[in-house]
Order: sequence, then C-alpha cells, then structure tokens
Amino acid sequence: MMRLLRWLVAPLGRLRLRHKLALSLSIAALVPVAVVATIAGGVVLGGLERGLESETQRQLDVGLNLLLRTVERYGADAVRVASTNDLSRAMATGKGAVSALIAREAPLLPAALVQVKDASGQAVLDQVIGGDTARFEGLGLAADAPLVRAGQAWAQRVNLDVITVPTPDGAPGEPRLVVRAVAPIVDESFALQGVVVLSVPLDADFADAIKGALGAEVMIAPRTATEALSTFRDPLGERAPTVAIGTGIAAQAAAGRRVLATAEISGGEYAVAWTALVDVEDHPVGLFGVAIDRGPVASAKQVAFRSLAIGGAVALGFALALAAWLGRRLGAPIARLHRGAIAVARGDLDHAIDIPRGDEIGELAEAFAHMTTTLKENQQRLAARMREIVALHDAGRAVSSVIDLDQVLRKIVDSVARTFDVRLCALWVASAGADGAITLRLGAARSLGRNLRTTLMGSEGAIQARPLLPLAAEVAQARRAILVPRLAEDERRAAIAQLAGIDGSLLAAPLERKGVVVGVIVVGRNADHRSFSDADANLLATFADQAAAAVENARLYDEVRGSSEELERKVRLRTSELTAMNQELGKALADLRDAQAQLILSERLAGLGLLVAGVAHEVNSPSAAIRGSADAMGEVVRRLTSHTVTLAELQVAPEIRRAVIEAAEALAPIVAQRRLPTGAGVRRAARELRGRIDLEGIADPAEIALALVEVGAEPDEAIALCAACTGPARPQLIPLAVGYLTEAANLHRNAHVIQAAIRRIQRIVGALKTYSHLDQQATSSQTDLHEGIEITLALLDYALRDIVVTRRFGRLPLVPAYVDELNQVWTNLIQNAVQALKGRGSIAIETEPHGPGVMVRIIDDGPGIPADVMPRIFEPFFTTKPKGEGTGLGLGIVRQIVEKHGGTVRCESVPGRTAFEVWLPIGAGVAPRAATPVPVEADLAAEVSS
Amino acid sequence: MRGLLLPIALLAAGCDLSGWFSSEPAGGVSNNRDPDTLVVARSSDARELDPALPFDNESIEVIDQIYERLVRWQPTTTALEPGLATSWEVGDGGRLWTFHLRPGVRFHDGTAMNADAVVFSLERQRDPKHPFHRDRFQYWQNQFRNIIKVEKVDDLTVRVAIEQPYAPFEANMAMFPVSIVSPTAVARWGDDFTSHPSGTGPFMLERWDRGQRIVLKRNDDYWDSDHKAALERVVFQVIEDPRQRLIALESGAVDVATQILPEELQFVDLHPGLRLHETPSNSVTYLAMNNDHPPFDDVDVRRAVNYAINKEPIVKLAYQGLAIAASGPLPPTQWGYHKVRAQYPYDPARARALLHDAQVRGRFDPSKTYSLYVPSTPRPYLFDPARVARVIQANLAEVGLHTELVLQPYSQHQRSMQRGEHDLCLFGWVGDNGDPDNFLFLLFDRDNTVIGSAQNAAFYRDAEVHGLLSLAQTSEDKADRERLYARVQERIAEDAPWVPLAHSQVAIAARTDVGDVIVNPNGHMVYARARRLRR
Repeated sequence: MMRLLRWLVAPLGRLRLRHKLALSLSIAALVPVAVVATIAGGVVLGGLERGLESETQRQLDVGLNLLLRTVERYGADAVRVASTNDLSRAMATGKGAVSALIAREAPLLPAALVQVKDASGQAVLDQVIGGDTARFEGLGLAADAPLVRAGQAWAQRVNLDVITVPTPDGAPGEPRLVVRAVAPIVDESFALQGVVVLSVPLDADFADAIKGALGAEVMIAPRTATEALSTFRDPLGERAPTVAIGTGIAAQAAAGRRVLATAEISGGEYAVAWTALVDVEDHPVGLFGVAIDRGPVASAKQVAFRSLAIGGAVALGFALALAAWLGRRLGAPIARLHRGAIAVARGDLDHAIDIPRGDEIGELAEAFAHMTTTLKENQQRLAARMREIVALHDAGRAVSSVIDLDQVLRKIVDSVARTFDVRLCALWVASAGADGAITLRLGAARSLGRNLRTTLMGSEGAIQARPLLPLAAEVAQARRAILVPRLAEDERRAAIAQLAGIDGSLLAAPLERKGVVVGVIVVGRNADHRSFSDADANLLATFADQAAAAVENARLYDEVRGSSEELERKVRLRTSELTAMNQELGKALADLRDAQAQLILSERLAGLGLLVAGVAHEVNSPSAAIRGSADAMGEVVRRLTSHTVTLAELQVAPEIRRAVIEAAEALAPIVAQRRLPTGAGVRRAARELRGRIDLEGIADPAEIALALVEVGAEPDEAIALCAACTGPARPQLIPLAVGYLTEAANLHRNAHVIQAAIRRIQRIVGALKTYSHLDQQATSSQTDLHEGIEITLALLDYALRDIVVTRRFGRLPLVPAYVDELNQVWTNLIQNAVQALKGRGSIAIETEPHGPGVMVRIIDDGPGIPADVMPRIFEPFFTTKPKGEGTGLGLGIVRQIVEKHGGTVRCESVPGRTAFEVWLPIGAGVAPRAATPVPVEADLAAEVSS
Repeated sequence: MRGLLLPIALLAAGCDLSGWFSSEPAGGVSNNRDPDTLVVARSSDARELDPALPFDNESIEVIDQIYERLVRWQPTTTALEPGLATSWEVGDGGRLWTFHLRPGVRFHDGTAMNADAVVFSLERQRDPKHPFHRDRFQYWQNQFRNIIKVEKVDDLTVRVAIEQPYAPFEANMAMFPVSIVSPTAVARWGDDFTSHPSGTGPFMLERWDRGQRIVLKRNDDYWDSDHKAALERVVFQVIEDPRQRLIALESGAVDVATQILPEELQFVDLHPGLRLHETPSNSVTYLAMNNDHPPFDDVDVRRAVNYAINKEPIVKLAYQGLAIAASGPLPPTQWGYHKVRAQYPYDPARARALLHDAQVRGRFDPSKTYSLYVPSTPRPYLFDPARVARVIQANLAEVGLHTELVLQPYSQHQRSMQRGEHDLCLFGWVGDNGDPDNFLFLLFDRDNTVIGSAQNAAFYRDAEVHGLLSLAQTSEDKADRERLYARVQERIAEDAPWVPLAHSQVAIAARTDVGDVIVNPNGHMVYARARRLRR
C-alpha cells in the first residue's frame, strides 16, 4: 500500500514547486467541493424523496380513509333502507312493492347490487341499481351466506370480502374484492322481516370515485392477486390494463406494514404506497395502493443536479484561481530568493531580497542574507588585497616607467603611502662605503599633516621622517624587516616614532638587490588606524624587492597589466547589474507603499466598527430618556386633562376660568426652566408663602403653599396665580390652578428632557457623519484640528465614561490635512490611552502652535510604556495587547499618516505620564486663522439621565 | 500525502451519504408527536381531581392514574391484590381491619406515605369535625358510612374499625374515594387541592387546562419499580364531538379515542391502522319492575315481561353489538357470577299466556297504560336509552302490555326512580368495587328501598335475599360468599323483579402502534402499562 502510494506520488516530486502547490491546492479544494456536493446532493435529493414519500403516505392515508368512509356509508345506506318501515310493509305486500320501493330509493343509494331477502333467507329482490349489470355479475349472496345469517340475527354489518366468480365456461375466475353491507329489516316492534344486502365491487370504477376526491392514482387488488385494478388510463382515455404488484408487497402489507416503492406504470415512473385492506376480523383481504407521478421529482432532481454541477464547477474554478493566486503568492518570494541566489552567483552581493520575515521562506531569506553578508565581507577583504596588488603593480609600473632615481624614489614613496594608507612613509637610500659601512640618505618621504589634510612632501616630509633614521639604520644593519604592530608595547621605538609623529605601528623593510642593501623603507601609522600586519610586512618586502629591482619589473609589469584589464571588465559588468537591481528595488518600494495604504484603510474600517458599537450604545440612553419622558408625559397629560375637566365642571364665570388657565399656562414654561427646589428650604419657603397669600376658605392651605413652592414658583408668581382665582369659587379654583400649573410645568420639563436627548442623538449622528467624512472627498483641505479632536472625543464618549478628559487647546492656525486620516490618528491615540488606562484615569489633550506647525499632545496618566517596548511601538503589527484587542497597526498607522502630512510623531513615557506628540506643519501660503473649539455639552448627560 | 486518503475515502462513501439524511419511513401518519406521549381523546374533561369529590367517569379515570389505594384490583379482573398496604388482617369478629403499609413510598410532592397520611385521607371524609372535611364529600355516605374510626397504630400500621362485619369492605378499600392523598398538599392547597392533586400513583399531574386537557407525566420515583409507566406522558384531550374524536385518531393527532359512535365502529374495524379494544364493562342494564305497583307485584306478570322482551335486537341494534344479552344482574366477568336455572328466553306466546292468566286472576288490566321511565341522556351502560325503550315498548305491546315512555334527564330520572314514581324503569349499574355485594346488596336488598334514596329500583323486598346478603357481608370466606351469592341469584331469577337486559362493553379505539392496551372493567385503560410499538 505504502509502496503503491510512493509510486503514485513519486512523479509529483519532479514538478515545479508552483505546480506542486497548484496541484495540492486543487486537490484540497476539489475534495471538499466534491464532499459538499455529495452531502448537499444527499440532503436535497433525500429531501425531495422524503417529501414525495410523505406525500405518497399521506395520499395513502387519505385514500384509505376515503375508501373506508365509502364502505361505511354503504353500511349506513343499507341500514337506512332496511329501517324504513315502508320496506317492512312492502315485504308484507309482495315483491312488486319491494321492487318499487327500492326503485324509489335508488337515487339515494350507491351503484350496487341490492338484495332483499325475507326472514327465512329467500330472495325477494335481486336488483342492480345505478350501473352496468356486468359489473355486479355474480356478486349476489346466497340465503345461507354467513353475512345473511348475521343480518337475520339483527346484526348491521359491513365487510370486505374476496369472491371468485366462475366464468360462464366453468373455469375458476379471477378473485374480486367486494364490499358487502347487510342490515336487518325490522318492523315497528323490531320483529325481523328480512335483510337487505348491498354488494359493491371494489373495482376500477370504485377506484375512480376515490381518485376523484384524492388526486392520486388509485389501485385496488384482492389479497392473492398479482395485478391490481387501477385508475390508470391510456392517452386516449381508455382504461389501462391492470398494474403489476411488486413481489413481496402483498406479504408485507398483510403483516400490517405500509409498503413504499417505485414502479414503472404505463410508461411513467411512479411512487407507490400500499396498505392492506382488512375485514372485520382483521384478516387481510386485499391491497389498496396509491401512485404518484415521479415526473416532477425527476425534473426537480435534474434541476438539483444541474445546480450542484454548476455550483461544483464554480467552486472548482474558484479553488483553481485560489490555487493559482496562492501559488504565485508563495512562488514570488521563492522566485525572489532564486533571483537573489543567481545574483549572488553572478557576484552581486549587494542584492537585497525583500521578503517579509516570519515564515520559512523568510527565514531562508534571512539565512541567505547572512550568507551574502559573509561572502561580501570576504570579497571586500579580497578586493582590498587586490587593490594593494594593483597599487603594487601601478607602483612597479610607475617605478619602472621612470629612470630618474628621485622620481623613482618619490614614486615609490607615493605608491607605498597610497597603498598602505600610512601617516608617514620614508625611503632611505643606502650607499655602501669602501669599508662596507652603509650610509643612509633620506631619499624621499611623505607625511600627512596633523590636520590630516595637508601632505608634507619634500623637505617638510623629510624633516618629519628624519627621527626615524636609527630605525632605518637598524634595518639596514640587520638586513631584515622590522614590524612593530603596537608602538605602545615597544618603549624604545615608540620614543623614536613619537618624534616623527607616529603613535600607532611601524613597519620597515630593507631594499635588497642581490644581497646588497640598497635602501630602507619605513612606514608608520597612527593609533587611530589599523596596525600593520605580517601581510603588510610581506607586501612591503615585496615592494622593497620591486623597488630594488626596478629593471626586472618590466616583466612583472606585463603580467600585471593583463590581469588588470580583466578586472576592469568585471567591474564594468557589475556596475551595470547594480543599476538594474536599483530599478527593481525602486519598484518593490512602490509596491510596499501600496500595501501600506491598504493596511491603513483596513485599520480605519476596524476603528469605524468599534465606533459604531459605541455610537449605538450612546444613542441608547437618550432614547431611553425619550421613552421615559414620553411615558411620563402621557400620565401628565391625563392629569392635566382631568384638571381641565374639573375646572370646566366648576360653576364659575368663563372669563375667570380663562384667566386662571392663562395665568397657569404663562407661568408653566418659566418654572419649568428652574431647578426643582429641594431640601429644608422648601418647607420654610412654603410657610412664608402661606403668610403672603390669602388662602381663605381653602381646605388645606399648607398643602397648596407647599405645592406652589415645590413646582418652583417665586412668591410673586404664586400670588399672581392665586390672584387670578376670583369669585365665589375661589377656594375650589386655587387648588385646581396649582394642580394645573404643576402638570403644565411637568409637561414642559419632560419636553426639555426629550429635546435635550434629541439634541444629543443629533450631535452623535452629526459627529459620526463628520468623522467618516461621508460628504467630503478625501482630499487635503484646510482643517481645524480641534474640530476633529472633539468629534473623535464625542464618538469615543462611551469609552471615556470614567476618564477625566482635560483639553488645553491653544490658538491654532488651520492645517492642510486629510481630515478623516487625521481623525484616525486621534482615534488611535485616544483609544490607545483609554486602553492603557484600562478605562479609568485621566487624559489630557494639549494643542499649541509649534515652530512652523502645530503640536498636539495626547497624555495619559497610565502605567507607561516599558523601556524595552518603547523602540518598537511604531512598528507595524507590534502589539502588547491581548489577541483580539489590537491589530498592532494602530501606532504604525499613526506614524504613516503623520509622516504623510509631513509631520512627526514621537512618544515619551514614564509611569504616570505617557505623551504622544504629533507635530504637523502648516502648509506654505496658508493664512493662519483662529480655530474655534467645538462647544461640548458636558452637562447634557446629567440632564438626560435625570 | 496521507492527507489525501481521508477525502478519497469520503468520496467513496459519498454514494451512500443520502442514507444518513433519511430516517426510517414512519409506520403510520407522521404527526411530529413525541412517541413517549400518549394522547387520549375523551368527550369531556375531568371535574375534580380530589378523590373525595367526583362522580364523573372522566375524573375517576384520571384519579386512577394519580392516586393509589391500600388495596388494588389486578389490571384486568376484579380480583384484589396489595396496593399501598402490603398485607392486612381482620379481627374482632370482622369489625377491625388492620393494614400494614408499604414502607418507603412517597407522594408526588415528596411527603412520606405513612399511617398519618392514611388516617388523614379517610378521616377527612368520615369526620365532619375534621378541619379538611367538606360537605361535598358525598361518596363516603354510600359505601363507607359503616367506618367508625380510622386510627394510627404505628408509623406503618393503620386500624379501621367498622360498625359491623362487612366482607365487601376489603373491595371497597380499592375504590377511588379512599385514595390516599398527601396531607401536606391538602393542607397547602385547601379547597384548591382538587386542582393540585398529589398521590403516589404512576403518573402525576403536570398541567391542567380546565375544559381542554390534562397532562400527566410519569412518576419516575414510583415505588413499584417493575411497573413504572412505560410512557413519559399521558394527555387527556377533550374532543366533544365523537366524529371529531375519530377523525383526530385517524389523522394521528391522538392515540386513543373513547366513546366512539356505534355506527363508526365498523370503520375502525376495517381500518388497518386502527384497532378496536372491546372489554366487558362491569355493568348491567335492566328493566326494573316496581314491585310496589300492581300488576308488577305479581311474579307471573313479571315473568311474562321477561318472556316478552327480545334482548337480541336490543344488543345488536341499540348497542351496535357492543353488549351481550344479560341473564342476571352480575356480569359474567364479576366473581360470584352464577348461571341460574330459571331462564327467560324470548317467548311472546308464553308471555301472552301468563298475562292472560293474570288478567283472569284480576291481577292485570290490559286496558291500562303503564309508565316506563327512561333517562333521556345516554349512560355508559345505555348508549341509546330511547331506542332501547322503544324496543321494550314494542315488545310489551306485542304481548298486550301497554306502556307510555317517560323520558327525563338522568338526574331527574334518578330522582323519580328513588321516589318510586315508575311502574317500569330502565336503569343500569356500573360496579365500582368489584364485589358482588356492590351489585346484589345495593340493587336487591330491602334496605335499599327507602323512598327518596332507594337504589333498589324494583323495590324488591325479599327476606331470604336480605338474609343471604347480610350473611355474605359478614362472612370472611370467599367460597362461602360465592355460595351465598349463587343462592341469591337463583332466588332473584325466580322472583324476576327485573328484566336483565345487557352487559355493555367498553370499546376504545386506538392506533395500532399503541401496545398493551389493557382496559380494566371500569372501562379505563391501564395507562401505566401502555407503550408505543416501534415498527
């Protein structure tokens, strides 16, 4: 098994990664599609089948009930005919009378064979009524039939029976199902006169009657039959031949089960259901079945299949597209990696591979980058070495290209100085005396001045180099190079070098020609420079040799020139590759910018979602206030009406009544504006008021005074109101006027609350509209920063419930800005602060003009940002919040937007004070205009909730 | 690549998936009902569920499910077996009954069933001074008035003292009025206990929408763990119209329908999805002849009437076959039934001859018209009273005895009978404790001929019968009692104070998927045994 699988899978290994990916994704997509299609097919088709099944069952139930009701009715008909006293009288008269009576009853009877027998069972009448006599041929009952006997014992009975009527030639006929109803004929004293028997065959005609009421094809068969009589007809309306009953159906039905099946009947497919017909003893005597055309289901199935096929195809297409997209998406970084590898192979070690870190490819890219860095370092080292060699070559060429010794010497010094990048280079020429003593003469020297700018040549360089003579002499004497990597470790030489202005390292080498020292070259570097290495020493020795053997350098020159040309070619090639690479980089940068813009948009949408939740919350409490007030108003209006009615019923002059109402109406809006008086002052004020108003004759003057004070009326106003109540009914009028005033004032107060709540909702809706800038284009416009900040605060109000927000707004000029993007900045920063505060604390928002721009600071007194997190807070996707609380984009986006506006954002944080500073420049040519802060209805919440 | 295997396997299995979504085809009409709930359609709702109160059959049927008695009938017979009492003995010459209660039984409300509960259940009916006694507790006065005192002996023993030795007492203790009720529930609900019943039965009341339905749910803590109800719920649904009841049954909306119209029995019989369950009811329908009114004080006249009436058309035509012709007062299923020697087959000639003799003797006046009192409302034992009355009237006219029918509503009819206003009276009796005494003493003893409260509609007073019945009441030996009752039946047959007409049968129509439909002689299904057949 595993081997087979491996054999199957092996060719896949040779595919391209992208194709592999596409293949696996297609399979992964196709399989669920197939499974879903199969399951859905199962559900849909199963549902159709079940629907048809239950419909068939239902039709069977209804059909069976119809059949049995019909049978029952035959019984009732038999009883009705038998129990008409006329029949017992007619029996006494004779057959003719009976026949006439039955003929009279015929219209009320079903098509049946009617038999009337006398008390001894002798036939009085055998008559077919309402139909074709052939249908009833042979159905009659003999005198000794059990059913006739039962009727003679007064039994009223209906039963189903199977009979076999022999054919005229004597052969046994087909079994037939018959309904028989018997009823005793009794006279007034219940004496038995005879029996009536109705026989009706359960045949195709009978089935037609049931079909007419049912709407399904009906089939009826005797118990033993293999074919059923049915209501099926051919296209010309001729009765179709019998319908075959499936094997086993009769047995199953007889066992009391209903049988459901599918059958091919007269060219169509039908769902059929069968049940047994039983006699009164519960013995199965026949089968009853219904058939429902499966045509509609078949076409429904077709539709379902077609829909599933189309759906499957669409799903597959989608899966393939997804696979292609994913393939490209995964393939692209690999291709980039591939390009990088090729570039490196070509030698382009500066090729940057732009793959986001995180996944395995990213890790690979990182490793790759590390590898190229190492390569690049090695290459740089090689290149340096090569540069030295080139320099050496140049020097050799230069040396050998001139004949003049001084020139040669200067060239040597220049070359060495350039090659070794030294502070000082000096060349002594040795001349051997006759005694073999060597005399050193400073041939050429070159020194960098103290300010590192001036090069001291000639005599000045010589002066600088002169103190090194003992060292040169030592070298000449020893005929070997001296390397002092760190002068600090060699006190003696350090002292010498100090005089020459060298404090780093020293290198000196003899120039030998065929065993004779012809000169000494000394180079020195300061401590701020790399110290000489053995390689340098070797190089200098070589150089010394070269210098010594100027003549022989011609051969070396030729060799070196050849390699130099090759090098030049390589350099040119790489330069052109670099240019191409640069262009690619530029394009990648542009892509990155697009992606960032996309990220900003999605973050804004997420923010908007959060805001909407808040807004819904915000709108709720004013709505509740409106509802509450509206409810209260209903009650107030009811009381007001009741006062009005009482007033109307009072026996006073109309003008007095009008005056009272006008006074109360005028006072109501005034007192409604006032705060409701509370506390101990109320009682005192009421006592005082009582002293000032004439409340003569009023039932409870203290109560009236208290009510007037409680409604908020000033003493003068109260007096004026009471003064309006004149005439003999004054004692009744005053309480009414006070009541009226109280309710009218309540009405006004409730109206105020509703208005305030509506204002609040309007403000929130307005803020939301402005925030999302639905009505503006996303273009830069001169913006009042305060407005944006206020809108943001308004929308975040629900989150700021337990936070003290302090605004310190300076006078700001308008700022050119993309308003909605800046709102995003405020939202993110304020939300950040809210989350840092965990919903409790204080936030300060400060604005001020700052240099050529404006500064906005959002400061919270939360725990602060840890120092280790601080450097990363503006990185995209960096978050310290639990999963789901922050995308990690917030502050990154803040920086993006601010930088897009040419501004800066920075953060300072210590525990207890975290400040985000956003600085935005004022665009050139924009006239500063004072921005007006949006008034905030801070007291509104209290007003609404009261 | 192993991941590929599962989807491929699923694909392969997909061909058969359709099978997962289709259930087995239902055996009958699908009606989305809980198969653990049995819905019973009845013609009217129960009136009271306090066992001390009801007279109506509908209430008693529900009470039988909720409560139990110290003694109970075996499910299909009138034989007794232990109920809440595990055993009992009788002492003091038959005057002191001691019941030993079943331990560990609890009422539906959690109260323990003990001697206190038994004493409470009986004493509240017996003792007019009992705080929970109500004057409405009328049933007590009929069969239980001989109880003097009910006492607690210990926590699980109760002693009942009765006035004089009375053998049927044992069977009486199986009757619904002496159901043991939770004293806590009665104390809590007071008069409203009838709406908040709490017994120990296999079912407890879950909901009662008065006039519409009663929902009983299974008592999962039923003490008889072998006979916990098989079904979770039984719903008694009121469907007044008998035809509508049958339609609801056909449609599967209900599982059981009671009181099917006789003319529709054939439909049920022929329907393969429905079954008719017929059980002889413990009842008798009779024509009583007032022995105080001539000519029915003459035994020959009474015998002539017996010969004159053709019972066959009555049971066939008026009962649609749901009855058997009666030859004596006891139904054949009642223990103590005895086939008497004196039989009165339909013989109008002999009747005429007897009447003629009587006329000659001056005891019978054929020119007179005698009153035949008939209830106008159907009774469980008399489906179509008027029709039966007309057959009787015609039969009697045939032999020269002329009658006028006095049709009255049942309560009026009963009052007239108790006052003895009738010459002839069509009446019936449903035995309520399964004891022969319940038929014979009540219906034939001279003690029950008191004008105004008589149960003995024939006003038949026979010293021998009285002696035999009294003896049987005090005898503790069942075989002895059977002999005594056989003698009583012979004597009654000879004296012919009645024409026993029919023992009706109870027919309950049920869907064929309801199994173990056991109908007890009261005509009630034993719902605790019923179960749903799954096909």
